[in-house]
Amino acid sequence: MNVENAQAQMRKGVLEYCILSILSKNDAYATDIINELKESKLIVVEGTLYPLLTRQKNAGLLSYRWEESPQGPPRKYYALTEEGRKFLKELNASWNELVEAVNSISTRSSKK
Amino acid sequence: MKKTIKINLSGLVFTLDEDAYQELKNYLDSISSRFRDMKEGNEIISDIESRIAEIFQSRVNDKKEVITLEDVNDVISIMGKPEDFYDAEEEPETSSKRKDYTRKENRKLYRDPENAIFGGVGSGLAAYFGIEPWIIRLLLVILTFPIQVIPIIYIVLWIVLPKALTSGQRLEMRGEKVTVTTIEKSVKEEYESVKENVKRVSESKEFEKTTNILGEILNVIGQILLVILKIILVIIGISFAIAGIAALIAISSLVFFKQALFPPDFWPMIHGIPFAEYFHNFTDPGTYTLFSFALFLVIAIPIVTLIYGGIKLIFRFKANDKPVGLAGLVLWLLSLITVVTIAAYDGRGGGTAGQTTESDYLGPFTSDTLRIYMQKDPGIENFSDNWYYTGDEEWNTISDADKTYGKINIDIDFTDDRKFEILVRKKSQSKSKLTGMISAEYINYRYSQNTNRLYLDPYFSLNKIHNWNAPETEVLIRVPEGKHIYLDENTKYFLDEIEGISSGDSQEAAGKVLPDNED
Repeated sequence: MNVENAQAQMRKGVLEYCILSILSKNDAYATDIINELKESKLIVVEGTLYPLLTRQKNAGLLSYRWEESPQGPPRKYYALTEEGRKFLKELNASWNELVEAVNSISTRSSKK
Repeated sequence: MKKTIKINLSGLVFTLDEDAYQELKNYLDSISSRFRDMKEGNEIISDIESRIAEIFQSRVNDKKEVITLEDVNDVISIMGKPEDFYDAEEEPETSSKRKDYTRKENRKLYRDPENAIFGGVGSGLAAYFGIEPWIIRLLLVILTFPIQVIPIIYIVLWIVLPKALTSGQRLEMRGEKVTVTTIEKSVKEEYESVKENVKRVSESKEFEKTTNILGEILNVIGQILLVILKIILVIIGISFAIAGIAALIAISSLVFFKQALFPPDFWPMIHGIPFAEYFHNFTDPGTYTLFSFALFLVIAIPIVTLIYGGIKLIFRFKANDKPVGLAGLVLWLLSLITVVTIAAYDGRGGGTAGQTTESDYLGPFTSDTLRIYMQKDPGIENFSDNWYYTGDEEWNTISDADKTYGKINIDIDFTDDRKFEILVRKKSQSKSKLTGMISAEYINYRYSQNTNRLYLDPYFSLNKIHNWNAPETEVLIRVPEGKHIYLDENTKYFLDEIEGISSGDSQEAAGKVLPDNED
């Protein structure tokens, strides 16, 4: 078990949550989401995103519309659905719980 | 200079360098094999393609129109390789089981469409075993005779084996190191991918693409027709080869082995003698050898060409035919000239006729009319009565152990002479007048007279040792003024030239007294 692998697993776990978070602020197309995720070093390659977006869309969390692009092919703009918002709220709650849990464990263990 | 390839990616046209195209295709193939089996796979693939199109679009401008390998590599590093993609729904364990983007050396059996005759099964097998395709093909053809199911196996392999389409697959087929995830395409999957493409086209609502489907269908029909055509060509090739070999055996047995393989009546008769023997009648053996050799070449060269063409149709190998073909043509023309020349100068049609004439006056008799009869019983073995009943064959000869016999011709002249005269004209063809005369000298002819009756032998004879050449004998009877001649019915088919009767009607003189206008 190496560090990189563990980090990748962690990122992977929060990736879907982060996508929904980004879309809760603004509608966005894939490249926007990617740029934001890249800034936060959550993903390395863009290819990762597409299967996730498609799955979330198919699960009813996201909807999309086509918009003309100033250059290149038309873009898919993704937006959260009502269901997506509910889903995100639940994830927010569990994320906060998780962070607290992790924090409390690590602070307690550091005290020892 | 580089070759470029135009592609349509998400409805946009890009021009790619050939190496860039190959790399992109491999990459997209790997993506598509990664996602194809998922129900949302098509959408993911088309999203990714659309993103790649966007990146490409940002890379081209007025000054740079072509996507290079570098651009493609950038795209791949931006998008990531399929094994780098996270997949939330997949268990981590399975991701390790996934095929690596880079594969270790491992040969796979494919069909090789680029070197194919039918389906490319043979060339695929050859690539798999690392040998030349023609060896496999030859083996398949030869083994088909003892193992008749081979064509069926071939067809099954044709259906089951995937085509090696991408350069990665081609490398894999040869067992070289491959840098792409393999796509195990069976024919069924290929069909599926076509169906997916069709679906993608209709989903993206780019209807001008529908023309591609029509093109695809036409292409498939064209492919099928091409395969049928190839099969027909191969069948023609095989029949050419077989017919050619049979003809070659026949002609060599005729010319060199003198009918060792075929009965004499296999060949048509020429002038009433067997075809093969016809050529033995030339004056000297040297000419005969040259003639038969040249004749052999005249017939054999086109046959060999036929066989070669047939084999070429079957195995479709490339060869520089020009020098050999030209040499063959020259040789063939030379042989033809030789054959024609020998036939013209030494054969029956031309040449120099040697001729000797023996003349004799008949003994005196009291009657005014000479009566001509053909000798009834010639006393020759194998003699056929046909000589008395038909005039068909100009060249009637028969032979026994040591002699050859020929039918004679009778000519009648009317002269102002005092006596009946009989002339026996013996002719023979030869290269020179002298040798012709000498061989004519050996011709024997007999007749006998009994008062006013003249009995003519129906034949002349010649010893076989004289290697005779188209001998002929005419018996000319000269009828003096005031005398008559009676030709018996049995002379009918020997009559040739009768004075006062046109040559076509000469046989009508038989059974008559000539000249009939007097008395």
